[in-house]
Amino acid sequence: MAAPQASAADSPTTKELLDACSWADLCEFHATDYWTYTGPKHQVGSTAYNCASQTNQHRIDWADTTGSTNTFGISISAEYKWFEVFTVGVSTTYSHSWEASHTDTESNTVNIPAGYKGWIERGTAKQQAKGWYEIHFGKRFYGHYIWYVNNYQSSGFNKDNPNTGYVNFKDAPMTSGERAAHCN
Amino acid sequence: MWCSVTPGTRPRLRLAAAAACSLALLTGCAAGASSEPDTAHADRQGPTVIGTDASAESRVTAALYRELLTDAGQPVRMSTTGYASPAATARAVVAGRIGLAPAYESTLLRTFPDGGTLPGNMPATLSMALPTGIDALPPAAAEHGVVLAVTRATARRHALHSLADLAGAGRRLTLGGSASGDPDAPTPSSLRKAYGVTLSGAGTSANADVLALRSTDPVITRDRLVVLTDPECVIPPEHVFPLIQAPDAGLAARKALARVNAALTTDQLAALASAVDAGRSPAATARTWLRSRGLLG
Repeated sequence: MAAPQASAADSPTTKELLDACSWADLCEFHATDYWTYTGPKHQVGSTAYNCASQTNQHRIDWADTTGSTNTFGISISAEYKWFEVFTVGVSTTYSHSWEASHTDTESNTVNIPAGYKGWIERGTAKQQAKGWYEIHFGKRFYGHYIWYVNNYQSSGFNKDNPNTGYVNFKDAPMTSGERAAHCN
Repeated sequence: MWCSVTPGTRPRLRLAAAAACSLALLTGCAAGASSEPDTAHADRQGPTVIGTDASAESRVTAALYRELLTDAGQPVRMSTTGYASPAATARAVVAGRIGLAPAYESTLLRTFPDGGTLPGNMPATLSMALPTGIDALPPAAAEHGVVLAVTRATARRHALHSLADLAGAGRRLTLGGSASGDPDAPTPSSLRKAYGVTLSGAGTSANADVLALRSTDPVITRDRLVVLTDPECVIPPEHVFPLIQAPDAGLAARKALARVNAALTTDQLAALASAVDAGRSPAATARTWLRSRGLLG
C-alpha cells in the first residue's frame, strides 16, 4: 500500500507542529536515544597579561552561557510548550533534567609567570537526546488528526553531571605585539 | 519496585520518516509523509484492532482493553488472527497488522533487541526499543514473568523469604519447575553469581525444592507456595502493558486503559486467567471483573 502523500501547501512545517503542542489534545515526546558528552573547548573570561618581572596571581572573572539547541534550528525558550514537553519526556524517560539556558559564573585566581599571558579554557558538560513528537488533534490539522515530528535532536547543559566537563588554566609567553599592547 | 534491565550497549535505533509511515499502515489506519521529511501524519480510520496470543492471560487482558476502550467510546474489534506468542503479537503491532495488544516488558525487549538500554529505567528502554508511531503505555501492576517458589514446608524448614536466603539452606537444593526452560528463568549459574547460592538443576521437575513457575500459574495459589523475593533483580521484569499504535492511543484511550493498571495485580490476572482456562469467555470474565471494581462508566 502506498503511503498517502501530502503536498507542500497542505503540510505543516516542523515549527508549526511544535507550536501546536500548546493547544493540541495530546503532545508527547518519545526519547529514543540519550547520551552525554563534553562540549568543544572554548575560552571563558578575558586573557590576563603578567607584565611584571615575577610570577603574579591574577583573578579572572567569567560567565559562560550554554543554550539548548536542536537540529531543526528552531529557537528554544523555556516558555514554549513543546520544549516543556521535551523536558518532561526526557526527565520521565531518562531522569535527567533539562534547561533552556544555563549560565555558570565563576572567579578563578591563576598564577601567571613573568612575561606570560594566562586564560581559562572550558569544555562544558553537555547532554543530547533524540526522539519523536506525537501530536494528536481534536480536529483535523492540515487534514489529519495525528502528526509526528521525527528525528528531533536537542543538546543542552548537563545539569545533573556538571563535573563531566572541565575548566583548565592555560598560559603562554606573550608575543611582542601583546607586550606592546598590554605592558606599556 | 522496578528491576533493572540488562545493562549493555546496543546499536542505536535510527529513525526515519519513511519508516514511520510504513509502520503506521495498519488495519484501520493511514499514514503518510509530508514534503518535509521530518514530519509524518497517521490517522485512525476504523476500529482499533486488538490481537492476542493463545494464552488465557493474553486473551483476558485483551478483553479488558476491549471493554475499557468500548466504554470510552472508541470502536474496537478483535483480530481474527491468533498469534503464536507474545513476541508474534508485538511484531504484529509494530508491523501495523493490528493496533493494540497486551505486551510484556522483557519479552518485548527480546523481540526488538536493537534499542539502547538504560539500566534500572524500563520506560526509557522500551521507548528506545520501539520505532516511531508505536507507544508502550504505562504498565499494570501485574507481571507475567517467572517466579521462584517453594512449598510452605521448605520455606519454614530453611527460613526462606528471598532468593538470598537460599544460601543458608544448609544443603544443596534442587531447581526445577515448569518454567525452568523459559528465557526469563534464572539458571543455577545466574543465581550463584547474584546470591552466592548453589542449586542443582532438576530440569522441569515439579518435585524440585525450588520451582521456577509463571507468576500466573494457578499451582502457586492451589498449593499455597511461597514466592521468594528477588532483591538483586535476577529475574527480568515482565509487567503487562498495552502496546499500541499511536493513532489508536488518543487521550481518551490512554485514560481508559490506565484505569486498570493499579487494580490488575499478578494475583488478579492469575484469577482472571484461571476463569478463562476453566471455560468462561474472556469478554464476560473481563466485563464482570471491571464492573465489580467500578472501572466501567
